[in-house]
Amino acid sequence: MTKTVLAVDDSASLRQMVAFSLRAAGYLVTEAVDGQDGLEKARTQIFDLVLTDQNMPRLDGLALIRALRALSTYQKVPILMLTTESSDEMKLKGKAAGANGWLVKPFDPQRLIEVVKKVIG
Amino acid sequence: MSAPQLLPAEFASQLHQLLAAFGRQGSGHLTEVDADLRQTSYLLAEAVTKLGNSFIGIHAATMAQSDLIAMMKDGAPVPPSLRAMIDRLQLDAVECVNEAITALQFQDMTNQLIGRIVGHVASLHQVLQDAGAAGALLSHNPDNAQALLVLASVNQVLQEKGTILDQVPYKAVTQTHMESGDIELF
Repeated sequence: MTKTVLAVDDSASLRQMVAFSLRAAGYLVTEAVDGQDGLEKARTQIFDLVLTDQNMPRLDGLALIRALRALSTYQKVPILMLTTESSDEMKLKGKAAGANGWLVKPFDPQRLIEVVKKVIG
Repeated sequence: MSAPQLLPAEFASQLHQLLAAFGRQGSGHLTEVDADLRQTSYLLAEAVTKLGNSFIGIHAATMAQSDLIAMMKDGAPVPPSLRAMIDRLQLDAVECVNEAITALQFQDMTNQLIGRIVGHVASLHQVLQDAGAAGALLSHNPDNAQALLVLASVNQVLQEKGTILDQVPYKAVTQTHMESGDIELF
């Protein structure tokens, strides 16, 4: 069965690149324009993976992760941060919030596909 | 010629505070603006170079494939060397596309940097406007007491706005190259 990915980022060009890369590898990608949009979409569908930016209006990445982990349906769903942030402090916050991994932008499509395959197959 | 009059100590102190605050805040904002503009410039330059190289690589692959199609249409035998070259170019094209996708992410980062720059410029503009508005309260021939009051008022505004640097979006973008970032699985 085709794996589904929720890609959350307020940058339209970034979402386009993520979607292009993962769709080429056979994943079904749904885009969300910010954390709030991502949360609303996650409530209507259980995705196999959530890939989220950190700095977004309305609801940032860390807040989105905490909100998702509070949902019974998203206790075990892998959540990866894809962000310009690279500090150890932020990574620790991400891990504490419930993130399963941290990818620093810019991403290489091949490496992104490899890590997504590793996480959800 | 009469000897120059000394400024009252309190007046001099307020004036000193004012000039120091202007220097500090102005310099603080403009230093950040300078750093962010340089970083934006580096990222844009690398992105454009990568995109240019990607375009050339993809173009070469496309042209070779066009030659192959033309030969096949003419019924001409396709030499193994051409097939091998096209296979190689196709692999190169995939790499070029990946490089282009990495480079195209420059907009996300430069947008954040530009947002910070705009924030700093707006804050500096506000500081100057506030100082100008306070200064406008000075009449044409102020006595020392009035001038002192105005100076103290301007200094208070500058002190309150002194933490404005904290209100500008903090720096989430530290990249100076358009290379793939680290990946860590927890």
